[in-house]
Amino acid sequence: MELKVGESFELLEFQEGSTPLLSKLKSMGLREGKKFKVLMENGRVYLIKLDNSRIVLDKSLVKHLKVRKI
Amino acid sequence: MKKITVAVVGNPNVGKTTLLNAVAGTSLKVGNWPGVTVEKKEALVKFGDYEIYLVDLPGIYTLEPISEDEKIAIDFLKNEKVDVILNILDATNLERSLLLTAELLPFKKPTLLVLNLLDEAEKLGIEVSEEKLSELLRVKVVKTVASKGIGTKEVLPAIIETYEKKLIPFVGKEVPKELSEDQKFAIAHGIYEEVVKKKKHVERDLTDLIDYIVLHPVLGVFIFVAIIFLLFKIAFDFSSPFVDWIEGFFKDFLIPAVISVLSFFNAPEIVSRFFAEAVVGGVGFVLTFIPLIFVLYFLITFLEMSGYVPRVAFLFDKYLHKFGLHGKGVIPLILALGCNVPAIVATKTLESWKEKLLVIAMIPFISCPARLVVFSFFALVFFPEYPALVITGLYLFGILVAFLTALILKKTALKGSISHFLIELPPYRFPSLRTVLNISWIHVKDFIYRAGTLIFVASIFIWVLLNFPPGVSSPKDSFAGKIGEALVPIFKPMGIDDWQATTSIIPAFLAREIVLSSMGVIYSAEGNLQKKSTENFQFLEAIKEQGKGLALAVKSAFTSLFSLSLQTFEVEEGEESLRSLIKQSFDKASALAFMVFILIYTSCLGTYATMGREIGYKLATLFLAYSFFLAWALGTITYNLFK
Repeated sequence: MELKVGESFELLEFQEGSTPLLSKLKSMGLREGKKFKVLMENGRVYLIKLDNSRIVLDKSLVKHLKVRKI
Repeated sequence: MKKITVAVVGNPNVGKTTLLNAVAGTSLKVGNWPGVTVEKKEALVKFGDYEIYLVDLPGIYTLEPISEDEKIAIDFLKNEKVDVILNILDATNLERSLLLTAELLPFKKPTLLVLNLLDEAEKLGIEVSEEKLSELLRVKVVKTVASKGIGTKEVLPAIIETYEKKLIPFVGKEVPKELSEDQKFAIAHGIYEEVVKKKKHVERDLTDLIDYIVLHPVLGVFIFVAIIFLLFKIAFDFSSPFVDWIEGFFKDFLIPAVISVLSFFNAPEIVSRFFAEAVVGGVGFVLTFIPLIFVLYFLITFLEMSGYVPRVAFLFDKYLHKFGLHGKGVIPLILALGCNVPAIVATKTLESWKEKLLVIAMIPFISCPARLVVFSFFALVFFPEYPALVITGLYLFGILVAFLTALILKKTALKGSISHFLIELPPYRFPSLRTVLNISWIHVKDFIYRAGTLIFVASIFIWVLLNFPPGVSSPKDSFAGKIGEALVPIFKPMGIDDWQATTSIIPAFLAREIVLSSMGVIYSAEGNLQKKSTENFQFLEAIKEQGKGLALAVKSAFTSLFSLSLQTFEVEEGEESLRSLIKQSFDKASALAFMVFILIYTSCLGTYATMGREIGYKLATLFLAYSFFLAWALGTITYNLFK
């Protein structure tokens, strides 16, 4: 799913298995039910704001996230 | 004295280094974890009847073995005799910090919680009750603002108390050896809800506002270029007056003074010259590196701790990705323009061993000021109509060779895709200057110990080569001259066929810029190695001169900051006598070939020693050989193309 800059999303669930990187993303605070906002996009990465942290993540990781726009 | 081992655990950017610096001060040591290239910080502090050994584990979000960082942490906690865990929490991201705390519970070790970044929490309207936190986990909690030294004095006494009373965290029921994801989230969330109150909602803070500009795809690049320009300007223009002063101090004061004293005791000339020129001179030579290296590390550490560095990775990943490199590689590559040594150390932020090796293999081809000194001289002598063009061409050629090396390695020995991008951008922070100073000083000490000792020994060795057999008066008859003559056939294909040029290359292995001063000595009129007479050396006069010189150096350092141009890079004219002598030995084509050789061959002990430490001496030596053959081949091709 393409995430648009400036929009906010809620994570519904993690899909398609688990990888070390997804574990790291979970430990960085992204959990089912959490809301985040897409601040920027640059090449292969998104910059999101999650609670009080700013996380840069690969677009390929986003494929594993089932989100809904809020 | 009882020794307590304390493992310092926490998320990245939570302030572990700043706290450790505030608690341990100058006893902080930086090294590498054995077998890997992850930085290890440790400190041994005496407090009361105890010797507290603090080990800073890499910043991690979880103990799940995702990368080297987590494996190091798990291994240390499981296998080393850890007496106390010092768990540092981020008050602005407490729920997340507590996830790690939950994962630490099964270890059943006495734990001290430090709640850091309280000032930032307050700005965000977050209030944390440390009493409640302490009550829920049954351990001590210390509140700190480590960057300002607030609360840090309570940490050591709290560690002792935690140890003596065996304060093991307990959440009300027995925790299983392996916590499931849901269990650890439940623990973290439960504690968070009880302990944190949010007084106000802050949608956008200062960091977000700054990021709109700094991370802008176009503006951000301009800001980056400006910051890099400032970095180099401050580093070079501020340090070079001190470098010049140190050189002068040794050449005009210390060395003549030592010769004076030794000859007073009737020491044979060769002995007094050995002690003065080789030993004392060797020390002086190592010291000339320090001002630049210190200032560079200071500025780089400042930038790192301010939060700017990961943002550069975000900005440039788009471009570097096309070359099969991670965005994080841009900082070491840019730093290489200033000096290859801190650039190699900066690759520690790259996650995979392959990526690190890749960037380290690129760095030595990126030209640095030492090479610029040589290029400036030769370009002015042989290409007076367009020296800047030649120099720029050489710089670009070096960058080209760097990227080509990376591409070849990516297709062969270092095959594999780039690691994914998943990093946190910390908020912008003004770093604690004490911490930055201390960390910079630690890096300088490391440089002196590693590269410095190697450079010192090598410079003595080279002095011996140039001044032996004893009584030799012309460089041609010295051991170095004989070696230089033997090297001529190797350099002939590059158009270089006199022993003076090849002999000058030998000392240049210490540091490239020496090739010029060696040429100065070796080419000069009578090839006279004897130094000027020290009969007229007046101790008091000389000290006064040095004092005046130092004051001037300090003034020069500060005033240079106010001019907009990069004064160090301003091309100097060079000695008239050497210019005319060089013209007899080189022509345009061989001069160009020589510059290409100096550009490509890793003729720098500092770089070699640093590479050896980061990737092992076997690989470093292999790379050295590669750069020599490549330099020779490219130099030969250059000569034949342009002759």
